[in-house]
Amino acid sequence: MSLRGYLVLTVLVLVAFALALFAGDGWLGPGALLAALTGGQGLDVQILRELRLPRALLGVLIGAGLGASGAVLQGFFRNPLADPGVVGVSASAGLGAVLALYLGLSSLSLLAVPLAAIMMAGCGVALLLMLAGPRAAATTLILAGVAVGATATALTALIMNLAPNPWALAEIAYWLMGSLNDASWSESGFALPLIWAGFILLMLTRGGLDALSLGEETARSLGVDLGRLRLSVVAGTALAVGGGVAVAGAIGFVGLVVPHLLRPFVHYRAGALVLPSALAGAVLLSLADTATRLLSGPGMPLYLGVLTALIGAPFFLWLVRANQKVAP
Amino acid sequence: MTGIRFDKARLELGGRPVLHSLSLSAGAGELIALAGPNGAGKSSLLRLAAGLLPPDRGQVELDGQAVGGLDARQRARQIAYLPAESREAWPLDVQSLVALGRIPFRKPLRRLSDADEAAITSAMQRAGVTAFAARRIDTLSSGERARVHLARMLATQAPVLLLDEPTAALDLKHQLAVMDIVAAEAKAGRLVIMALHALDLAARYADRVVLMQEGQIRADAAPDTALSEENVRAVFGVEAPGGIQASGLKPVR
Repeated sequence: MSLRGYLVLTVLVLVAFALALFAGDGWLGPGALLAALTGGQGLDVQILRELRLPRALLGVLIGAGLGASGAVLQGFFRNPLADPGVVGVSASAGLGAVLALYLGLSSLSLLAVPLAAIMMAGCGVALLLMLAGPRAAATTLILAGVAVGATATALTALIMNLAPNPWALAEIAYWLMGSLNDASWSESGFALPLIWAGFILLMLTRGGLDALSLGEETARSLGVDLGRLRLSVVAGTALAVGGGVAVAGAIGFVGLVVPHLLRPFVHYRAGALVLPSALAGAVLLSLADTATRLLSGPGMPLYLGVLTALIGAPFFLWLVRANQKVAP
Repeated sequence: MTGIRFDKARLELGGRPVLHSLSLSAGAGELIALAGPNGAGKSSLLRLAAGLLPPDRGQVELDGQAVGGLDARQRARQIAYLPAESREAWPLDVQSLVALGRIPFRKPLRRLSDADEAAITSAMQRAGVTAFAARRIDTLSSGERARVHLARMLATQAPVLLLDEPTAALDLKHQLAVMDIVAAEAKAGRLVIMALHALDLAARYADRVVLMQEGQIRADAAPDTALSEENVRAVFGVEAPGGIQASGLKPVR
């Protein structure tokens, strides 16, 4: 992507971040930010520092993780329909969280749910690599991912089935819809290093993704170690997506739509798509979260995962039609 | 001197032997055509030479070192490989596609170096694709695409070039163009080993023809000896009175 493209995306990230900070039930001004940074007191400062800032940070980071994972997975599978869902990571993380909610672990510690989610995401990835074997081709990996995801989804449904009372069922259902409502510094502190580590791993796959655009055999003849690449892709996705799902619940379509939208701007180069997708994913998720906050009425919360799916699904359909001549 | 040597190499795929105790040596500046019916083991031989498959028995060596023992990037700088079918997952532009040939030299998070740029430009010139450097690969004809993939391979600047059927599905003129490009590389001192179905092209361009049958080398000699009437009948089951002759085809200037 050209320097101008990066500049535009960076400005958009900053705008989205500023909106996430200042927009809401109570609109704040830059004055409140200044006061918060200089250690001021007051309600505005409290809202900004304890509620909006961690939430805005999480929105940007989770969006970046989803966007980058989507770009990497589409490049790795050489398929524009791949998204973080296909390797079963989201569903596994969701299962972990639902299990923790069902067992009532959330009352023990604030971090019980995200911890359970990330641990289950790790189990899902381990199972995936075991099923697919060390030398799996992309197709085998996709099939194994679908199997892992389906298993996790089935177990999640079983737990909801067994929920002792409607209240517990509602808690699980709300969690699965995805939201940043409970975002606090402890959640940010938990997710931030995970997503960041995943992001670094994902960035390292870029050369391999470029080589893979000519097929696995050519990539290997160019000196790409496909085993290591596969490990980076899967581990990077698990960290970047698992870390996000762990604190925010399942948020779909960002990883699918964003790379698809940006691909022409990087001249269809698989590796060059990763960083712009991270930036645009951050913008999209951040804006979507701000929109849910503004649209939610008292007692009628709008969930982030619901909104991204509502925007994402028709948009994706439109993209598929518009790009029919381009998609391989 | 750069050379590839097969020493009693054996390869099995799915429990079935595809190459039996195959020995062959090839040195810099040679253009070697692998001929033989489908399933004779030409592609398998190339994959072994490229280090994409390890031999089940025996050795495959590059300059006296086992190809499988080389570091993958190091190997990729020495041996460039063009598979039979190069399918692009994305509609890349020609320049970006040719630049993929520089991956064995790239460092993470760095832009193309001057040496990379020079290699890409030179490869595009030699393959004659400079004119459509900015076009998207999916807008080109198959003949032009074949040359773009050839340029991608040349951009690596490897001393060993392995090509699997680079002229398949091309019209006469493009076949000649591809063979001229490859022959020029051999003349420049590279070792070229290519699988080839067009026997008249093999007879005309190759220094040596390696005739394969059922995983074994039936003949390894100058084209007129290797592609004699007798050999062609035995290997292909086709009568070729007087053996295969070099074609006199020439593109109209």
